[in-house]
Amino acid sequence: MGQFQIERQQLGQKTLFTLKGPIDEDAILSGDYFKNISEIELDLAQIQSINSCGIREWIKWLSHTQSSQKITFKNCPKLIVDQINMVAGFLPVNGVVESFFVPYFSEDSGEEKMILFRRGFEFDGSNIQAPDNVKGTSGELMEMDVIESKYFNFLKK
Amino acid sequence: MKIKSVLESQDSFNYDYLKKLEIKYKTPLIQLERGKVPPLNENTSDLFITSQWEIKNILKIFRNRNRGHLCQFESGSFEQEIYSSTLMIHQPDEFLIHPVQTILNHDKNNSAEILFQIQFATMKEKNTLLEETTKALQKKNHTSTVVSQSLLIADELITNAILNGPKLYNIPDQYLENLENNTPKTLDPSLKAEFILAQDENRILILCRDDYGSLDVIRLMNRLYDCNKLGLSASMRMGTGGAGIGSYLIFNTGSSYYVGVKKGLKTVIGSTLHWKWSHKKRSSEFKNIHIFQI
Repeated sequence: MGQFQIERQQLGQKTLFTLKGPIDEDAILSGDYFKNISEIELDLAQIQSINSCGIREWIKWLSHTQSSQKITFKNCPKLIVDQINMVAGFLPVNGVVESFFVPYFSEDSGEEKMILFRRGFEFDGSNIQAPDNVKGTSGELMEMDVIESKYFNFLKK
Repeated sequence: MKIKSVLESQDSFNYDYLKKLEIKYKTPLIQLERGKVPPLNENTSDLFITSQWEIKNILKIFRNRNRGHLCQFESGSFEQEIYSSTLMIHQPDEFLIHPVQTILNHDKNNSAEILFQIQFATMKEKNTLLEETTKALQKKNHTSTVVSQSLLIADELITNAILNGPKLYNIPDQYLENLENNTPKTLDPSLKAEFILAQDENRILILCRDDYGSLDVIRLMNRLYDCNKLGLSASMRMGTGGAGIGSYLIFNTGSSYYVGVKKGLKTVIGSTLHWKWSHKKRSSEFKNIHIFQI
């Protein structure tokens, strides 16, 4: 599984944190990362897993942010969307999801694909404009593989 | 036994089929009506069947209980679930010794395959176990959501075995402090924990077994109930050690949940996932549950 890593990059006013690996009891998430910055962007695409201790550490970590700090989640994998929906506070009040992955599945081939939904394109507020022509490697149409009322629930909050 | 009511209230059940199951497995099936939580007492049979029961209702039934089986018609492998229940009721030791054979397909032509089985004793081993689990599942070409859900269950089972298994011996603080200090937590060397990953033609089984037998099943059931009722944030322990929501994550992720405890001797906890199903179908709230403590 590798070790949890966090990389920091300054992009103008925004500070981008790229998180990689498993978030568990060994992940070091320091509140000091957020000192003296106004805009926080978290790129979550490379998070491999999150367990119960990781969920707790995450909530503690983000509790160090100030309400004046804008937090953006981008490239949220399904495992992060699941936590946002299930655990109150996983996405803080000052947090916004900019993009997230949605699984698509073909019953025929058993193939799975993750499609990125972006704010302003595949969703806007709580309105979803899902692509209807997602195809598998052999050209078969794939279906969105989530219970929509559950998976997109966080967009209504 | 009100098996007749099955015909009257639910289209999905067939009276003759259920009657045959009762005769075949020599166990009365108690049919629960949708959404209604019946009063239970010590004389009630342990095997409930129902249809489309959501998590909150299942956990209401199992609150304050340390034995019982609930099999749902839509949750897949219905007859296999009945078979597992009856074996756990009539031969609990058999389940503790041969959990894979009890849970997965018992048809001799389609016997379950063990993908990975290993003993472990420290938290330090967890990453290796999870890596091996990933490799074994990827080798079988399972989808990333199946792998990810299996890993979550495996992670919580292993963590619980190490953090909570030894509690019988009243030394939990030592383990919790070790966690804080980031040093490996170790089980008593004379005892052991074991991790098993197996699958049959429909389901994956992720299971942990330890030699402590320290799990209090009523406490576990009440914990699951609280997590569901209060929400995970409110139920989470914010200090060190376990977060206290791992068992709920296991229950919520899998399609069936199995717990068997022989006090002071053995704890077995497992969960299954339908690997052939789409994730959407796997996300169903209609779960099976099997628990006993002897």
